[in-house]
Amino acid sequence: MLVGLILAFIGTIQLKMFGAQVFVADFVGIIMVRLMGAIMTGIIMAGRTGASFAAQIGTMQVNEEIDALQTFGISPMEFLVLPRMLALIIMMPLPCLYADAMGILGGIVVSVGIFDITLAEYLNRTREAVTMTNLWIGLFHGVVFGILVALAGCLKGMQCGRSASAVGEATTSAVVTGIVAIVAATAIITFVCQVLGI
Amino acid sequence: MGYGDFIVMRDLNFSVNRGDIFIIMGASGCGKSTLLKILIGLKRPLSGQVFYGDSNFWEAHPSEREQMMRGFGILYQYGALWSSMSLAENIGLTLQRYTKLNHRQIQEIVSLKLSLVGLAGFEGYYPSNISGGMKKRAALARAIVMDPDILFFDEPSAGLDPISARSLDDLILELRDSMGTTIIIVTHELASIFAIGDNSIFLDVDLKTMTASEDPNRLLAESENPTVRRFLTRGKEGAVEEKL
Repeated sequence: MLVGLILAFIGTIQLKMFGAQVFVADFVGIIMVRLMGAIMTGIIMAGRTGASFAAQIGTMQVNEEIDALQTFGISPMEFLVLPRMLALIIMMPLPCLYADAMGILGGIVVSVGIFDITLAEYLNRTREAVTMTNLWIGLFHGVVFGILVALAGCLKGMQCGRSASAVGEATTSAVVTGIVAIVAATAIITFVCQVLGI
Repeated sequence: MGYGDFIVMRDLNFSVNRGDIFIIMGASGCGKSTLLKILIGLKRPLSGQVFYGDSNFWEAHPSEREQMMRGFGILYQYGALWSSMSLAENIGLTLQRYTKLNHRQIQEIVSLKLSLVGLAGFEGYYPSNISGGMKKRAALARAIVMDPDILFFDEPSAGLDPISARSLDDLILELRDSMGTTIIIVTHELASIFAIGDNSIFLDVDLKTMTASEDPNRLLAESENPTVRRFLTRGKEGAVEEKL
């Protein structure tokens, strides 16, 4: 919600110079739904879930549980990584939608509360500007970020050394790697969408 | 065998007879656990071969190697039980994956194996709820659940009180005598070595090679190697110089 609030605040100040402050609804709606909702969700998931994956799997590495899986003929990738990745792929769209809604609400709070745009006007503009294409692209971002966060967390956990401090390092590294991967993926997807004209 | 350019041990040449309890012994840091990892498929040797029967373990196709590994049972030093699963789930996992047994049959086998190691009734407990000794026993139940041809133990007595260690030795002997299982044990616990070992090798940490290969009791009686004697007599005999 705060991101939507910030976007609306900064956007309105700039748009007001051209008498176009009503388009803040388009601005906030498109950015939140297409991009920022997924990015904020991805960053929070990297910090919460990616770190958790790295810590869990890193601890298993320290306790030789992963060695035990391998020697019992159970693939750690299939048993540990794949379920976690599937879980994030399936679940990420939901918090993304929630983040989108909260971001738009933040925009409403600023626009209606401070800049005298009516609620009806704001909602109408949002409904017109935010197309299904934007929504699907936003959800696609969410799914991609889910994969990246799961991969970063699980990979860092599997690469963890055999000590307690190594688990801490793996956890931190998983968060940083996840966030960097999210930013890089955003750039790539944005470029691809531009090329495809969507 | 080694890690990158660091050689841990070289020129290891030994064989293990079927049905023997074979001890791999040596000072701390000599490479016993590294050797064990090579034998059980966790680490590839820098050079050399490992044969199980006529099958070259590390030259085999990964699927063949995996098939050979299904005949192994491994007890890790601290148990390595999967912490997110109950004891029953830990022990039953391989039965679920590699047999066509139904749930009830798996539960029965799990209960039987837990009874064998003195943990009857602990099926629903999690590794975090039991003591270190109980974890070892549960891990042993997991290691024997598929009735393996070869059992590997990594420091089985580590962390156990003398009475529990003795009970474990008795259990190991019983497993060998009743199931004919070949058992390979990495340890430096002298009481166990002399009590249960049929044959052994000694890994010399300074020379980075094996310097003895014999029944441990005969080594104690007859070996003239000072390092081996020092190890087997807990420092009473053999090399006097201390490395600081």
